[in-house]
Order: sequence, then C-alpha cells, then structure tokens
Amino acid sequence: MGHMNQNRGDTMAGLAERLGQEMRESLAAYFVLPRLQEMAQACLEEKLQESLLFGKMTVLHYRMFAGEDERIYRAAAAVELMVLSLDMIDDVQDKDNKSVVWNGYAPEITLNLALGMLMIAQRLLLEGGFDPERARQSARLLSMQVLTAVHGQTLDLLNEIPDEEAYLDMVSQKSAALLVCACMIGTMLATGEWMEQVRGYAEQLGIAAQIKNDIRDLANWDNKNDFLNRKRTLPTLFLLQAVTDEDRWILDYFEGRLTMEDVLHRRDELEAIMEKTGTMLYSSVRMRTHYYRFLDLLGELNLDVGWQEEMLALAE
Amino acid sequence: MLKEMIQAMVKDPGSLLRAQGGQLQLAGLSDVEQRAFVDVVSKRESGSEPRLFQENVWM
Repeated sequence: MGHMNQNRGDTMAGLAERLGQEMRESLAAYFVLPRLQEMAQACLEEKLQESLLFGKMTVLHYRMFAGEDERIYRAAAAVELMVLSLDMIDDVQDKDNKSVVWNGYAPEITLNLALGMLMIAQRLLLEGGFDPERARQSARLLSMQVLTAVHGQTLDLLNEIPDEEAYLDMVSQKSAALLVCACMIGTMLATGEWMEQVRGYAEQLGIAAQIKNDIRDLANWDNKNDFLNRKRTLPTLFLLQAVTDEDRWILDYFEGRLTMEDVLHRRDELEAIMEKTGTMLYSSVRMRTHYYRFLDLLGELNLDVGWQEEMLALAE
Repeated sequence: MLKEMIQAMVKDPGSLLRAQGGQLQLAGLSDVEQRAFVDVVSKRESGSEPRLFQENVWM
C-alpha cells in the first residue's frame, strides 16, 4: 500500500500552534460561564506545555492516508481535549500532587471541568464539518475507546492484577486504547475505514510506552513509586516472583506485613535487588519487544519513507 | 521463556557477557524478543532506550 500525499512539511509545521488555537476556540465556544471558561483555559494552557502527541498522531494518520481537509485540526483538538480530561480525572483518582493547575482546584471542580471537556470533544467530532457518516464514526470511536480506557482504569485502580497477562490486558485497555483512538480517528476520517494494521501497531506502541512509564515509576523514589504504592505492574510482578527468602522483606511489604516507614530507608537495597534479580533487565527487554513489534507492524504498511520517519520521530 | 532465561542469566554473570558478545544461543525466544534482548544488553551501559512518550495520561 502506498500513499501519495507529499505535503508533509507544510502539514506538520506549526501543528502545535494550530491545535492550541482550535482547543482555545472550542473552550471559548462551549464553556459559557465565565468562571468555568477561565478555569478551563488555565488547564488548557498547562496542557499546551506538553507535546500534544495524541493530537499530532491524529493529524499524521489523516495526512498519511491522503486526507486534505484543514478541519482535521479540529478533530485532533477533540482528541487532545479527551486526553486532557482523562489526565485530570486520573490525577484526582491517584490523588496525584504534581504541580499542575487542576490539582489546585477542589476535586469536584476538576471532575466537572473534565466532564465538560469530554463532552466538547464529542461535539467537535460530530459538528466539525466532516462528512456526516465519518463524523459519526469518529465520535463513536472516541466514546468506544474512552469506555475501554474506563474499564482498564478500573482494573488499575482495583490493583487486582494477578499476573503479567492480566497486566497486559489492563494496559491495552487503560493506555493503549487512547493511542489507538488518536491514530484511528485520523485514519477513519481520511479513509472511512477501520484499519486493523493501524490498531495493531498503535496498541503495541501504547503498551511499550506504559511499560516504560512503569519502569520509571519503580526507579524514582518518590510518592509515585510503584513499589511504595504496592502497585502491581510488569516490573513489580517480576520482582515479587524473583525475590529470594533472603529478601523476603519485599514480599512482606507488598503484602502489608511491613509499613512504608519500615522500607523507606531501603531504597539502595531495593535497587540492588532489582538489579540482581534481573527485574529492570527483563522489563526493559519487554518494553523494547513491544516497541519492535510496533516497528515491524508499521513496516508492513509500506508507507512512504517520509511518513514512517514522521511516525518514528513522534514515537521516539 | 524470556523470564526464565533472564532469571538464569543473572545467576551466571558470564552468560550476560556472552549474550552481549552475541555468543549465546537465545533458543526459545521469538525473533523480536531476541532482537530486543540483544539490543538491551548491548545498550544498557549507554542508557540509550527509546524515550517514547512523556505523556502521563492514565499512566
């Protein structure tokens, strides 16, 4: 399969700025109450400091499959508003104290803002000016993938992950589904079709990214550390089944027989155990395995080299 | 298979060195796992993993 759209440079240049503009205008259009508008725009400005990778993936896929309508930026803005809303909700659920604007609001306010943004995202897709059937398909896809993510987030919040297979199932739903959403909305708006190959590689990339995050959340000794929070992730699951009797305190902590105060000072010891058990090595290999599966599946599409390079630049 | 292999390797540091030098048979691993394993082992010291996303959405 080859794709002939050659306007990569013109298309991707100034993309972040264009997405930001669309998102600001959509909040201004749909949030009528001044205080609501003000808080939403503040949250958006925080978001716009990030890379907007999901929205960029939407635009990239649309252009890859020969889409030419400028209204794709509105659809990509919808994707980013969806991502922002879920990010805000996640921070409330995790009681994350990172210093972002929405963590300074009362949780009920943050949830209300997020709910509104999610609804705006749907409206942008439905009313964004695309062919009605494709608009309907993209909005349906958004709600379908968010619902999948809700299921995955439930599994994550319950932390009842017995083994690696369950972890991968949870990650596919919680995280990878949103990347699938971003890529597939662009694809479907361009082609009107569901492309299973795109879903496949987007899922692999999403899983790789989540494992990468989980490796980081074991290495950083802060309030997000997954060992301290007794989170069952791929790295911690491996660690738990690899520890010897000599290092039993790790199991004791995870199973609640030790308190955080008992283990807070044992960071160096934990790092040494993670090294000697091969926890980080295993996790890194698993992450890279999924990343290479993404590369292989992407290669099967036989896209123009330039588009592949754009994709890899975003993924890297 | 990968899990068992790594658990065996960490008990035998020489095997990691052999893997780094491409001298170890990685039977039982899929092609993509083999590629990933060899790359990670050879790049571990340099810390050059792909940066991937920095987004924290529901992550």
